[in-house]
Amino acid sequence: MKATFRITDPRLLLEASVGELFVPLGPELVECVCAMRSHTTSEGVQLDMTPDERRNPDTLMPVIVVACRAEPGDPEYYPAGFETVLSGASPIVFVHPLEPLQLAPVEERGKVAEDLTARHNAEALDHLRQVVRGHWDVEITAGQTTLGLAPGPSYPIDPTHRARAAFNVITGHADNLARPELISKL
Amino acid sequence: MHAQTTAAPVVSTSLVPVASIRPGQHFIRLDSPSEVLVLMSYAGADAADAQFAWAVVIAVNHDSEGYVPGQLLKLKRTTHVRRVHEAKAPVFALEH
Repeated sequence: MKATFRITDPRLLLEASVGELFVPLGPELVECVCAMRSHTTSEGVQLDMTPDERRNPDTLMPVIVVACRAEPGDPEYYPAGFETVLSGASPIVFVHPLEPLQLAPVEERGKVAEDLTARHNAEALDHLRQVVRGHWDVEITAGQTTLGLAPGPSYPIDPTHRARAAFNVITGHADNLARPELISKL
Repeated sequence: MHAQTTAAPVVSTSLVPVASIRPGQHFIRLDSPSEVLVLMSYAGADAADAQFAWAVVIAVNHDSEGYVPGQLLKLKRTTHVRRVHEAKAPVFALEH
């Protein structure tokens, strides 16, 4: 479905003030929300041009992409932070955000892998509980993991090796089922 | 554009030096976390400033002190920051 709409109140880029957000109406950055690039001096935030230059419609004004409606790979996509220059006479429309920007953290690759390992360990422990409960007297806690083969001795298992420990115990259980003479020795 | 960080997750993000941030990635500073920044290649940068990177403000929180979207900032490449991303695409409306 193709939508047609009309912008009734286009403005010129040279009317934009520091910090205002706008969408250029063409020919570039038509899918992007932009802001004018500025810098900070002892007198506050300033544009990189004199007031006279700014009033000149032929002046090229530096523009920064803040957000883009197009997806990466689209011809009209520009990443946030992309800079270009537009004529002061470029038509724009001013926009404002409807709601605050919501942010989420970006974790390091190693951290993500670590979290996944911890999750897999927890899943392996759950599986271990289901498999061995009823056959052995097993106590598994979140911190120090203890495998108690009542009435025999207890074997502390390093929590950092929980996944391997779970794997070994499950394998041993299967082996023991195949060798009934060993079960009687437990 | 105002930014509002979601509750706890951001503070748990690992710290990374500015030098490891790629263009287009969003990040926040530790000493002034009320601004969302992205890196940019600043054509006006002095060649002697190789130890610095240029970032631009794209969103500010309500408690940001004087920063505005589009504002250029100069950061040391060794400065540690927190990478963030938009949890939800921002929505804009035309000004009336």
